[in-house]
Amino acid sequence: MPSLLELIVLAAFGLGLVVPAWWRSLGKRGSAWTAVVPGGLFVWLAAMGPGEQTSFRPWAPDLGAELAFRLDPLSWIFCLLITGIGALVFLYASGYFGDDPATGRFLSTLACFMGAMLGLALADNAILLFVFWELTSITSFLLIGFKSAKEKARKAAIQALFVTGAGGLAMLAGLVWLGLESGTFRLSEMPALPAASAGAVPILLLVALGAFTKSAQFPFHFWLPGAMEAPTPVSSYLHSATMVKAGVFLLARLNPQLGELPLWTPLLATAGALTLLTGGLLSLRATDLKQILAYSTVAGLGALVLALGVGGESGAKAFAAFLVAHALYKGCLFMAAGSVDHEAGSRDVRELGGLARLMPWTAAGAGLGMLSMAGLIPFLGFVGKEYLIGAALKAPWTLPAVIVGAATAGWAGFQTAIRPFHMGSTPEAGHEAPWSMRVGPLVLGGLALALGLLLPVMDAARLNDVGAAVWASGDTPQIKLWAGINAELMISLASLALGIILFVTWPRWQQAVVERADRVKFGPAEGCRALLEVMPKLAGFAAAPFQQGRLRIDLLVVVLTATLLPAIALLRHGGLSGDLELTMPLIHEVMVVAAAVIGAILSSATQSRLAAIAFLGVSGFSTALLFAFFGAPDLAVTQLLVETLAVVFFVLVFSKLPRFAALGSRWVKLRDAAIASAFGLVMTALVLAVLSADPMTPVSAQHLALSVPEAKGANVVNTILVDFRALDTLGEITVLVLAALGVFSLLRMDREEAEAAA
Amino acid sequence: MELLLAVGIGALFAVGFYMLLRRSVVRLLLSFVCLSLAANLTIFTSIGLQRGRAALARAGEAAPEGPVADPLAQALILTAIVISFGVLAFAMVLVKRLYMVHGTEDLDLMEPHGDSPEEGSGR
Repeated sequence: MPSLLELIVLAAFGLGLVVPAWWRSLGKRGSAWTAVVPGGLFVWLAAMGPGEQTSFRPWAPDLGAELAFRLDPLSWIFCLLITGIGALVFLYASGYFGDDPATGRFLSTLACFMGAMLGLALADNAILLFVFWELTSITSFLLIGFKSAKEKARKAAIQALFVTGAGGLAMLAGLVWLGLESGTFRLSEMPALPAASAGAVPILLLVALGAFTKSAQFPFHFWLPGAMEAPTPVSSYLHSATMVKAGVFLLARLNPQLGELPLWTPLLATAGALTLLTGGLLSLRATDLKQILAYSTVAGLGALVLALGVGGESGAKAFAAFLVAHALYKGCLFMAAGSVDHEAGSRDVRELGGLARLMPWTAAGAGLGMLSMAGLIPFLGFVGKEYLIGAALKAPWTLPAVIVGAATAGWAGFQTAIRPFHMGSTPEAGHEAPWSMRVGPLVLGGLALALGLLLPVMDAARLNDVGAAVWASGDTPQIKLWAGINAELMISLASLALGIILFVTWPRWQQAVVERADRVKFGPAEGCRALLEVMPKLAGFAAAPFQQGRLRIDLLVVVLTATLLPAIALLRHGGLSGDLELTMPLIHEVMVVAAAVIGAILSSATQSRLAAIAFLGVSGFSTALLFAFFGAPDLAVTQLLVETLAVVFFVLVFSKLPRFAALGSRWVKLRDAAIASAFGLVMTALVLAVLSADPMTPVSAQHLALSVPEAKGANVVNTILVDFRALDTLGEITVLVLAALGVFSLLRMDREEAEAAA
Repeated sequence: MELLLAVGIGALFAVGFYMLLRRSVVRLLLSFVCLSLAANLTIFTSIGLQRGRAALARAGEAAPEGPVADPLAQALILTAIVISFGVLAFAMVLVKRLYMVHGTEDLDLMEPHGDSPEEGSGR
């Protein structure tokens, strides 16, 4: 019976399994109902609360892998975000896709992603965590490239997989190393890594590489804006609210183990600040609603890494508050942007305007999200921004980045929620999005307001517990809505003012910035693209000497390698110096071996096709005789049957073809003969080397002893085939069936053509 | 005897590879047969030869008595014989098809994308 925590993960994957059939039978209405599963999980998790729960099941104990799950405040809040936003996204997707026949496939992949993400959040074992981590990368790949007919979507999907996959490998190395160093792979039992240990620096760097690629930190940020090729439900779910936070989650999860290392703060704070700066500044050049939001998501992720890097109480508070605030307002704004795209047919902020009259609900939801994003009291975004600035004050050199990030975040909010809706002239055509697409922005925006408003009364999102889980000092921080008039508030207001100035002056500078930015043709994204182009070329260059596209030349390389390498190995290990017990051959054995060899040689020499087949038949029958001489009656019988059938087939299929043409010059024949002879010589030596090696107890001793009592068979070869190694025989039969099917279909093709020609 | 068989195996491998390197596709098939024989004999010989002693238990015996030929190697070879026959049958039909589509059995005359008149119908 699966535990509660396992059930949560299984439910999501189960949804993925049944959704295609569900959608086929219920259609558009059915897709809206899929939101019930994540919604139900959300309610269940919310009712359960963040109290600690664990579940354990052995998996591969020798490898340190176990199905260990653990619920704590950090994983609880992640699960709530995953299921809560998940429910809204499922609902949203049902309206977004409507009757599109690909909806079933889309929702199924989305549900599998949700399962992987829940598993990632709940995993308490490093190996298990990695498995779910990779699953999120793969589902993300499938979802980014969902419109697979679009080349741009495919390229973006490959780029995202390339970057996150490479980072995932580095992370695996780091996690394994960390597990070996701490003696356990159970995350909750891992002690803090001592700074003096040999692996401290490389472990941190490897794990950080995984986290930075996943969470789009500078200089790996470029894949995230590219991922905007995905349908908007994906962008709002994976690429703003959940998956991209997996890297941040990993760092928060390992904060107790790695947070005390001296490199932690400089590494994370620098990466976070740089990412904040990069994302914020790059967002200014974007005119596509989704691109603006994508770059500001990059900045938001940078802010979270920065908060973790600063650490301590202020870092933990900033992380907890901003994590939830960001997920809410970004999910909200992405959905609103998708609705605009869906209904107005454009995402270019330069073309949109006056949509508030047509889409009042979407405009209202986006407005709420925007106010939170800009950091206005009493929204949760205000709290997050406040504490973020507080954390930055602890590492003052990051303050400029935070101010730029906050100002551009405000600008991005206004740009996506005011300009398309409340400015410019209302287009004639267009209408409000369907209700299923209105719910998401309104609920998320409303939550951003409610959670902030409620904060003085109750900590509904349990932010203080989340902060305590990250802080790992045993104390619980106190997150407040209003911390009084202090430096943070002043900086917050200043950055808000800066954001407003940017917004108001945008029409004046946008053209110059966009044009100048378009001229930049270098950067990490171009580097990645070049790498992807260079690697196949490099591989082709390396393979060219050995594979020239001519079968025989390729074969020659293989034969020569198979000759030279064993020859070198034989010579280096003293050749055939071992004891070789030889028995004298009997006269009939000599004759049979001679017949086999002569048959083969004649078969290769004759020009007549029929003679060649007959001569090779001699070799085959001689081999059957050899089997019979040396105690293998089964082999002898089989070989006889097969040989007979083969000769008959050969004659049937090829008798009508002309004689072999004499192809190839004398020189080529001599060369091939020399190489083939050398290979034959090496094989002879190998057989003798094997025979002269020290005898070992054969595996078959067991078969001989057990054949009669256990398998009830007197013929040990037969009992091995049908009893001890029955699965091998099943595989063999499968191969035969496949071959027979192939023969059948090819022959039928011939016959159909003959009939068509007649 | 081992020496004799080892030399025989070497000869079969040599002839097999020599045929593999020819331009005729049908020779390719024959070389496949020859190489299968050589490979099976290699396993058979390397495990150690036992004249006339099959791994069979007489009636009433709990196990075959005395030194017998290794049954596991035989089981492996038996599987190999049968599978190589299946592959051979498929390869034969495939080669015949190749010949019909290209009108030649010379590998060097077969164009990668086919320029023979039958190409269109050969798909």
